[in-house]
Amino acid sequence: MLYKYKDIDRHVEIDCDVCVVGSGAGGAVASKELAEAGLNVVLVEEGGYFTTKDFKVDDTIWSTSNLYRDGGASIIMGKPSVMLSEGRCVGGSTTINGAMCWRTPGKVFKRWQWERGLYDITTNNMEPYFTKVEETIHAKSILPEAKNQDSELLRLGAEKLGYRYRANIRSQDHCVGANMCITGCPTGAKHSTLVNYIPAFLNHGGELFTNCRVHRVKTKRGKVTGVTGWFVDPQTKEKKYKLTVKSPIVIVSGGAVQTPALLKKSGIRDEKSLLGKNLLVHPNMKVVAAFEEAVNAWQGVNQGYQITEFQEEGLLMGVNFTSPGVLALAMPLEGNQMLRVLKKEFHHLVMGGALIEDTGSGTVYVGPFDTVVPTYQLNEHDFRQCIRGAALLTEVFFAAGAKKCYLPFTGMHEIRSPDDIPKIFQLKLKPAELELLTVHVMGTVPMGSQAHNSVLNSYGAFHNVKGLYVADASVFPTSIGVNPQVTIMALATRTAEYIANRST
Amino acid sequence: MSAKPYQIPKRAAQIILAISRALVFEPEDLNIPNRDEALLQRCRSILQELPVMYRMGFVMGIYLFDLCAFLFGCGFKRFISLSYEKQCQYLDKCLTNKMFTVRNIMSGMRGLIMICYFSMPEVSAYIGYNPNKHVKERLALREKLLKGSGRKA
Ligand SMILES: Cc1cc2nc3c(=O)[nH]c(=O)nc-3n(C[C@H](O)[C@H](O)[C@H](O)COP(=O)(O)OP(=O)(O)OC[C@H]3O[C@@H](n4cnc5c(N)ncnc54)[C@H](O)[C@@H]3O)c2cc1C
Repeated sequence: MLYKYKDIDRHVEIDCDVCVVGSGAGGAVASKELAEAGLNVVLVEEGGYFTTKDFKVDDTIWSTSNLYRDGGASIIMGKPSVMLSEGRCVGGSTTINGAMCWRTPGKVFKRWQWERGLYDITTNNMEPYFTKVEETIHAKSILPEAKNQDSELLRLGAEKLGYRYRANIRSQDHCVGANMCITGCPTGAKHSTLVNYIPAFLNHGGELFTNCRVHRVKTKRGKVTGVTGWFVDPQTKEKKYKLTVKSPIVIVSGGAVQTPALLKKSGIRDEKSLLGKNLLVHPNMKVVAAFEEAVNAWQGVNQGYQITEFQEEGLLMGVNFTSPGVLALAMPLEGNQMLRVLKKEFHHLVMGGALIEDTGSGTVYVGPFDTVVPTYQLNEHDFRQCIRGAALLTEVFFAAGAKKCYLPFTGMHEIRSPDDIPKIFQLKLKPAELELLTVHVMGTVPMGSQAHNSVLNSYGAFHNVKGLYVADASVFPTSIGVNPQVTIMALATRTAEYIANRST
Repeated sequence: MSAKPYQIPKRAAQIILAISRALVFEPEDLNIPNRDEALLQRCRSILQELPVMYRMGFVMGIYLFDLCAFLFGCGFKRFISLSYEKQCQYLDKCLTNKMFTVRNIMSGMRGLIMICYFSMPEVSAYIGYNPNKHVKERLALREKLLKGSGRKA
């Protein structure tokens, strides 16, 4: 049963077997698996419920204010601050993500085993969970009809330089490249949890409450007892009615920023105060290239290819179109002539991004009035990786025939020849001068075999609170260096299976 | 009495509009009916979604920006009273300020206003971005492909 804000006209009290907080990659999957196993599951989501027909193609602001947290204006504080995008709607960030699918690299699992004692999470053991998730979200190659010229240019550049690349697998069914993934897929082709796990959860008798922010996870004598939250009027933001859920099992899946914040506010502590630390962000560095011929990057599939040549070194590169406003922000040094530049060059521009497998980290703090403050410090190694990523992207673009590239660096805003790439490394840049963004937050409630280096066990269960679990990107002990949705979903499937086996 | 949706304070709204003009030079051949209202409506939609503390911080930042023009060498005038050229110069100085905190606050303001500005349909049309038509074509293509594989769209 789905309850939208308009369906609620009084305080609600409810009992269930399992309460799940957050309906994104982790929460939707865990909810569906548990409801399918016959448990009575209540799923609580802070954002609203919107489906394909609601998504507005020509109104970015509708999308950011209805589908994104903080209207899309979230920031992770630090030097530099990092722009953060995450979903706040049914489906969570999967509703607005780019649909790329990656299994967790073996090197990451090995690290988790060696460094955190997670010996039961191996490529082999995870195989059935990956397969199940990939089948459910239709992780498949893209159709030729969906191809996009910007991705083809990336491939061409990589081929000319002899760099390895991969044709992306994406969670989609007959995607034809509307290229609106990040504002809500208007064709229904993208398989976010909104279109697969959530309907299946509801079909199995699950109850979904929307527009309700959970404020407390309740515990008594080391055991979880439920949650409380408030239904918030989507127009006025007024807290209207209270939700009280009584449940012996609670799974928190609010994403790697909100999950530790909720747990901290609820007074939950771990042995070594690791909760909220280890915020990892896959910093993303942007470079914009201008080509002689029109590319029309907004037509065709988002991120058809990724360059994997430097993956072992922690660098993954791709191209993706974003709305003109975001594109304008990626070219910060054009001053007030941005409109003139875009009028002339919009159809010729390609935006590339380098994803850094980060080794530095940040912390999530909670402030007064329900404020959540994530902070992050880019370390020297990752800073150098950002510069290297920008240089490599520039090289690929020139190899593909770009006439110039726009860099977000004071002192070198435009570069017209590959011969000038070494000059990037001579700039006396400081980390605080970079313009970074992230769409992958992870790591703030890490798993591990021991309480001294982790908060959760390998099934996402708290070491020290009975019945309390986490199933979202928070559980990663380290950065994974690839797009994370499949890893989150596979681990959530495993957590749900563990809970179901113990409950029945 | 029931609560009302968030409104941007009047003075802050004036400053936001002045910043938007200094941020994006508007050519004469671009005509946006009700430009100011449309832009403020978009800013309001985003600000409403921010936690109260951040929203207050944003508005305070706007006031501070306006006032600092008065305090720091713009001939004792607030930002909104400066000539257009002076406004552009002052804004540029703030955006490239040596102090990280100033730059950081400014880039937040700039980000929000730019995203709102470039999301206006007239601006999209001006630069030749027409997602509506494109999506209609893609929807038709998808329907055709699905029919071809014996399925309903
Ligand atoms: C623009 C964008 C593009 C991306 N592209 C890709 C991609 O191509 N491939 C890929 O693998 N990954 C991609 N990602 C990342 C991926 O979508 C996320 O890593 C993943 O969805 C995170 O899952 P999660 O369960 O941790 O959190 P989310 O999916 O973010 O879900 C968390 C949910 O919890 C809700 N919530 C939080 N706190 C509360 C509370 N207190 N009470 C009630 N509800 C709450 C939120 O509203 C939200 O809906 C992208 C992300 C973004 C933003």
